[in-house]
Amino acid sequence: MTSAGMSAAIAADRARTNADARLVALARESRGEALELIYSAYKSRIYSFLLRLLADPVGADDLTQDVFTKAYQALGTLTTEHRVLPWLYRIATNTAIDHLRRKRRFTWLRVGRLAGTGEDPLMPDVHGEIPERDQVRRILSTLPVEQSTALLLHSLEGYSYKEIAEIQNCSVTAVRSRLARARQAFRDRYATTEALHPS
Amino acid sequence: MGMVHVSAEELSALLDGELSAQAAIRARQHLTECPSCSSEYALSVRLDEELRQPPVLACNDVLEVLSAGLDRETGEGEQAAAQRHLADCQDCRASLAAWSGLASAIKALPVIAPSARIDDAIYAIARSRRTYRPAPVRGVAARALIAATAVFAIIVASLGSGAAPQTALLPSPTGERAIVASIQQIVFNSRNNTVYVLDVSGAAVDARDPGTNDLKTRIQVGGEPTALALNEVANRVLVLDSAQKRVTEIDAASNTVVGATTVAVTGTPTSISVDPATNNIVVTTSTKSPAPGTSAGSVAVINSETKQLETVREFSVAPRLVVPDQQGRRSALVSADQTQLVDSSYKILEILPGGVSAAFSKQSDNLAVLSSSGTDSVLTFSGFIAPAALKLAGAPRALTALPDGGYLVLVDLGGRGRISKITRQGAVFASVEVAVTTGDLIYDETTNRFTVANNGRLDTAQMPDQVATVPTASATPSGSAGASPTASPSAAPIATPQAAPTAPAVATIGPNVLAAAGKLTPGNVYNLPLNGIQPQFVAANGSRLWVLDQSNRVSSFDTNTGDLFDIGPLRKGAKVSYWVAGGSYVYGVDAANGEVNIIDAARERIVGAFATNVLSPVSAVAVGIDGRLWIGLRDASYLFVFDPRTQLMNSVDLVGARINALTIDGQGRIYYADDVRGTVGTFDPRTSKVNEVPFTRRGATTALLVDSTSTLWVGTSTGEIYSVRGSKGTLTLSLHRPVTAFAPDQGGRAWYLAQLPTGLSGYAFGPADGSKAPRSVAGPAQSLNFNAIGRAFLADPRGGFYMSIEGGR
Repeated sequence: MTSAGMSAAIAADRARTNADARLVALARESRGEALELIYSAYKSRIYSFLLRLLADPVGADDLTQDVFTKAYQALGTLTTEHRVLPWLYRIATNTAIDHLRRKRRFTWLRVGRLAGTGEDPLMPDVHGEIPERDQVRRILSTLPVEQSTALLLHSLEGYSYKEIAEIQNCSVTAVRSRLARARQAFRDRYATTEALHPS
Repeated sequence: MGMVHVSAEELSALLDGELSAQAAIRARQHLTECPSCSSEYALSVRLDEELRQPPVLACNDVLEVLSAGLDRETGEGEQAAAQRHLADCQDCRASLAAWSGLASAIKALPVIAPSARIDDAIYAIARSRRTYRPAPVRGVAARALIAATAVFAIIVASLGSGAAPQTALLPSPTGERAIVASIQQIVFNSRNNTVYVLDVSGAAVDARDPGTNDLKTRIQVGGEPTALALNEVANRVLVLDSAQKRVTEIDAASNTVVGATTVAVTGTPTSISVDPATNNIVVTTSTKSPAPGTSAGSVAVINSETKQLETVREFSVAPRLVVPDQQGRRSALVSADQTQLVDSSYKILEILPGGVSAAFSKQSDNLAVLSSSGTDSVLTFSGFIAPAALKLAGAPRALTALPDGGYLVLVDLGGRGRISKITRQGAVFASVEVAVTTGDLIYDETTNRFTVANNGRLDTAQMPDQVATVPTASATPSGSAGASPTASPSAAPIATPQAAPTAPAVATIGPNVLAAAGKLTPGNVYNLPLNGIQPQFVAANGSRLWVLDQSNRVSSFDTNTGDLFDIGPLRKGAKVSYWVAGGSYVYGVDAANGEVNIIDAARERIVGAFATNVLSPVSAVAVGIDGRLWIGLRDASYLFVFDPRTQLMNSVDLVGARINALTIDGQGRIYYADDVRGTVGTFDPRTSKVNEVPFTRRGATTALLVDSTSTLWVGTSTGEIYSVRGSKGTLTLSLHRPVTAFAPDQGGRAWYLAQLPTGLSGYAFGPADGSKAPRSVAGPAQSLNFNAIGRAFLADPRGGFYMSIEGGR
């Protein structure tokens, strides 16, 4: 890393620490305002993270709501020791795992209204239509959730093994193993799909 | 002289540092001069280094190290081993190459925001809770549970009479017999669908299922609990102990006691409620024998979180009960001597007679106060357009407001109670006698039943209703106040309610059906013409029968009043194979493609049609107690559930089951019949548990129903009727012709509908247990339903209803 890059990273880290401290202070004043701030700052990251884990836009929507509702309830426990985003990821990870364990049998589907019927316009839902790197998305959603979580936190946020271990509430060794398995699964499945679709 | 080379032994010893110092100097000197020995030595050094290297690992063992190495999360030793492996392993090199692009591929996935639905939900939480902060005195806002999907209307009722020892009587401020005990004995928590019932003598709170009254759990609170309130925000049930001035908190999520606080108020606490705007606890108190000119009672506002007393308002008359209106703008402070109508700052707006209870109308600004008048009761109304006071026989006991703007009153006739339904216009609509004489009242809109809770005991019965006889039908205002423009709850001038009875309800079409009823022979069967409507499908929802006619038009027939309402047409080209109702929805489902047509029964309008794309023909449908539609498929083991509020579908894999028929019991459990595998099963959506029992029957399942005793009734194409309890099926009837349908009567008992035996035209209906001889109608009957007083309605697809007076009796 160049020295310019390093100082930019330190500055960003410092800014984030300051922002987190302000948020914790705000939470003591008004949990509602703190929730609004956290939500507007991190909703897309949390939603995208959950979407990658579940590959289910509506489920990810519902879990995003759960995550921020839980965060709201737990705002009082947040101290200046905490970094807000990893804390949110930890809630999101636990929520997703709970959801997947409990709801293995369920899948929510959006039902389309037939054209020209009814009176209430449906809110447009474009989530399912956004084109993505299908293969990456598909493989991610088929990995064991512990592995995909570790991989996403590492790839998206650049968290260290130690940070990921704190979020996942496991040992650094476990994180190491999860990441390796996730990567290898990717490599294997890439190979398989390439073999199936030689073009 | 030829060069003397260093021997192999010497080279090796040099490498190992084992040569003598002199020999080593000589050897090193030689190596600088001799290319041959120098290269030999270099080889030995490399060999030695090779030998010092860690052993070569298998790919699987080294993958983790390679992966961590990529992230700079390895120790140096590990890294060396990995590099060494990598040098020799093409496969692992390929892995590493593939991995290196992965992080950027993941990072390249778009970042997406959640939907606006979630934005709304979170901002609602963030903003609503702003009012959390301590604020100056706020209104005693509604404790009433008017959640968007709430199915219950609850009241704060009161009881009294020193003759009822089980009620916790409180000392009267005036020294007279207290007729206001202000016992709030029952609260409904919509968040966990649980009714909490106070058991005073048992010092406990029972958590019960509102559909079945089944006890979920009993929570001991100790002391002498006197009243209940619900803190919806915190999801806690508050239990007041007047004697100890203590509030015990029950966490509704775990149904356990999580804390108890002594409230520092003067006087004796007499009632408790929670202000949802501020989330504060509101406690009324009374003072024993107050000195002249001093206050007799107060309203104390306590912070829910800190349990600190925020404000106390003193009153010359001790309020025994605080009844808030739905908007939290006004409250009625009820005491034996007078009822004070106050605004949100406790300024007295109006003084009304004292009483045992008060209730705000759900459809207007009216307030009703239930008081005693000698040995009888009087209901006094106040409001912009208030009806005249209504006298009722019997001692006053409890009062609640009904969703249609009317009220329900419980009086004590001495040994028996009477529940009267009072219209918005202040007239008695109907009455029913009950065994209980006192208690708190709760009304369940979905089942049209009321419950009297008294000291832990619950008595549930159908609402008093009547089918007006032909000549008097017009005297009764329509029950469909929801469609009436006079239904505005605002305080702005509204149309005179008294004028309403003569004007037909907006949606009513044609003359009252009962007015045109013609008596048929034999038996007490009437024919009700439907003005050209030929019912093809009929589904019952409360007192209404929802009809789909020959031209796909929806109408609704009120079995209590005889009124017929035009709702509108389904979408052009809709094909309906199943027609079911429940919650506050009616559904028409196309079996071929799973298209669902939805009618909102509460708003009396057609919501729309939805393509569910279930990919297999639909084989069965049923509506849950929450109004969701359950769909079984012919060719797949999936059970789908459609939520009309969110328009989302969920699926449940019943692993291998093929659903031929569906029905749902009062607790929301799904029962299904699988003819292919010869089983019947249940699926409980709350626990996701599936239970299946083998049950062989002849023929295919054509009708399925769970009665009020939780017995499953199975009717078949070959005419057998079986009752199934536990894992045991019993054949109760053999009709030798297909069972068309089952319907519950007014008491929840199952009745069947089937064609008359060959050679006779018409249809028969009778109890599925065969306990009574079947009744019959002479023509075709498409459906069978019962109203609240047990009259049977059978739809004749040629254009009318048969109404059997004997019906279910």
